[in-house]
Amino acid sequence: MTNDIIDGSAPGSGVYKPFKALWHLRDIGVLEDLETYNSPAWDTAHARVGDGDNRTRVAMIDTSVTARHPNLEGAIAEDLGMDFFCSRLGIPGKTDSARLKKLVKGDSHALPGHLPSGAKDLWDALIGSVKDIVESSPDETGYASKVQAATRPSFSAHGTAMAGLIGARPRSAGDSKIAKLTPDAAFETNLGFSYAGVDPFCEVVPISTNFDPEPEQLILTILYSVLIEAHVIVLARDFPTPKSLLLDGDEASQEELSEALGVGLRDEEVEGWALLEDLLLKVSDRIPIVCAAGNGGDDNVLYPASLAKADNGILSVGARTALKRPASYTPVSDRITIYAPSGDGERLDRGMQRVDTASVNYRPEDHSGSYRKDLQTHMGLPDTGAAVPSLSAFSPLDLVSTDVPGRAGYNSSAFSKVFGDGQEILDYRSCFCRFSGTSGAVAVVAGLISLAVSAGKAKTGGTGEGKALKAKLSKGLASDYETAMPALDWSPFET
Amino acid sequence: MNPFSQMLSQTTLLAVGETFELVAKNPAAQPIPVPLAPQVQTSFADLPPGSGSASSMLNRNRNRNRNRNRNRNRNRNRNRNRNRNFGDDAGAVFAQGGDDILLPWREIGLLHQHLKEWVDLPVDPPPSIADLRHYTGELLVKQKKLQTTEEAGRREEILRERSLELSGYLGPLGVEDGGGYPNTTALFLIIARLCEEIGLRYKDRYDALRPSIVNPRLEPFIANPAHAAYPSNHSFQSHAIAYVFSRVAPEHPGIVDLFLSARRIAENREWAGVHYPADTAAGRKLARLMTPIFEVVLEEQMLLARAEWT
Repeated sequence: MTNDIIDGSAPGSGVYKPFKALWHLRDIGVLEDLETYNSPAWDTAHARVGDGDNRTRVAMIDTSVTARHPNLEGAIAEDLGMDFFCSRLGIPGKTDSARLKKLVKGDSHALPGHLPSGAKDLWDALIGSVKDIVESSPDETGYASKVQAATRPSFSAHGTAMAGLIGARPRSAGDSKIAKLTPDAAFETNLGFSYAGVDPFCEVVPISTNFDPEPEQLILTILYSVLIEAHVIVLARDFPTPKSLLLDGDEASQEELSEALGVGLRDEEVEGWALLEDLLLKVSDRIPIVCAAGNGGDDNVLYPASLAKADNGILSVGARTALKRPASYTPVSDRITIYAPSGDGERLDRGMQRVDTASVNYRPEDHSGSYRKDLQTHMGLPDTGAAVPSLSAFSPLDLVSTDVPGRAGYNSSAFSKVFGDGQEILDYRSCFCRFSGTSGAVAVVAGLISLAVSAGKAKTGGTGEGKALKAKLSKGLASDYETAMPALDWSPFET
Repeated sequence: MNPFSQMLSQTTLLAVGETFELVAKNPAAQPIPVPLAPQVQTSFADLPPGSGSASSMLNRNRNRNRNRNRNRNRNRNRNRNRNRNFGDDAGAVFAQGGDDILLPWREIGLLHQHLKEWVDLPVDPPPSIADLRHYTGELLVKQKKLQTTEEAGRREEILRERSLELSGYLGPLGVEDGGGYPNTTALFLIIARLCEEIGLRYKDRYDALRPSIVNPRLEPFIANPAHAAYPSNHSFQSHAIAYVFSRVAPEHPGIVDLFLSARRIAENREWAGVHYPADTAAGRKLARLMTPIFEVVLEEQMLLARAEWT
């Protein structure tokens, strides 16, 4: 396969051709090109929602987010955010949130009829807790004021990268001051903070949890997404049900699961996991739930992505490289709803030979023609039509997203302080990171769904609308691992 | 026309090797470039897929920017020589198996600066004596089962876990002995040290009875510790390590196993007859409530630990 991505990278040199951070937006047809950055989809969305109050709402169940990133200003709905890490019923991002107050105003907040009745107690408790917090006066000292949220920016890398891919906004020069790095640097910068998410008109609601494998907080995250009237729910993480943690867990009894996991599972936990599944399926009928398929490179699709079927609105998202191949880590499964752009990874096993030939770790002598021929002959590899399996199919392009500015995050910095005295940014490079995995792919899918809603090309929230949108996105195509199809793009929403 | 296309066309963000450059359409605006960061460092995310518990893997971030902060070496002497004998250094915190660190006086100081934020967290009071007596039945069943052949492994675990022992936390992360991960090991030891102190405060407040005091028919497999039962400090320490590490590296494929291991270590104390399930639950809850304070008090050490994994 020839391409314009790896050309120019000498084998083993460690030198990669620079690439434009927003390549994936052209790949999915949101941008027409990477010169003018024209986008009819953005034009339509802007004309429809602009900076108004009816922005598309993306419920992002993930880690916390660094909202103070130049590209995330205006993208993160802190006033609707909720952290379930420490407090059972959550701590709002802003305890005086007017919008949250409006959502729980009055006494008629029965569990929506389409949701399982088993969720009633938690729904009532959630509403009650939110009301208590947002309606209490600031000087009251109660439970909520004592328990803090675990949302420190230093430990918010994953959520920050996810949020950026979904809804980051470009900042023009002047909006964000970039510091002079040397005293005589002759520039009063007119550099913009030139990064954008798929839907730069949406609002991302950070809903954070801890990773203790217990169902209650996960049920609450879904109920909260319903409460805030999210248009789409995005899940890069898995929900580690006891059954999903075992290879053949579906048939295991509670006692067998306890034995296998080494802990004493309680009845209410097992019931909670069942309720969560019921809830996910019913919510997804109206609100698409976009789930990462996982990064194992095997035939195992993560839960709840594994619940994706034609009769629900759960999307199982796989990763597709810039070379339009399945990413090396994406599950080998026909249960992928859609493939979206993401980075790649090296693999050299009987299932795949994908080697980064530009890497400094690449040794050409390890990959002689006879060796590669042997791979094909002796390992029974499929005949690809070429003389030997292609080693050049590795894509060096990761997704690029927003990172926690400064030394924390995925991309560190030599500066201990990120913002100077004048609030200028001392190290803009640390504000961006490479991001990959089906996490990245799932964020891109959620962003595209959001953009479709923003542009008035799709609706969610009504009966069957989650399911219908999913069908539209996948264009009715059957899942095919070899070609990484159906691939995400804007075309279903062009008309 | 949307406002963003024009902005993006004026400045392009490029991924260049291990770093990024903003490139202006008008070259006069271009900043002075700084040297590119060195590259190539292995992280768990670079390992072949399937090398960990892929079912829980959150992200495959390439993490290729290696421009690590060079000023983060202030705890270079944190980890002491291994295989010391217990008690030979009054300034050290020990774990069974030889890991030790200097007493984390900075973190202890910071913890006390934040005293008001953690001294009265909403941990439920312990169950009534009547309820505790009722729960004893469950412990008696476990006590009997503990003596069976099938539970031989658990008996060994209980004996091993009497003192602080890190394999139950490092093992799920794929680094059984902590080799090569000194800052993660140090982080866990500091958490354990801080939890010990915080937990004793809460124990003292409730002064709850040990199960074998409530019901002498229970004969603990190990001796009752010389302090009150509620909340369980084993549960508190174990879960605090899991909660804090899940903030440090939520992408780690071993997070769920770390939580399960923490839970088992906590539950083993019920099997040993020295704790009620309510003690375990309270320790877990206290750990959850304490995480935001730990994020502040331990920020430096958490960032150092994170650098070992990303």
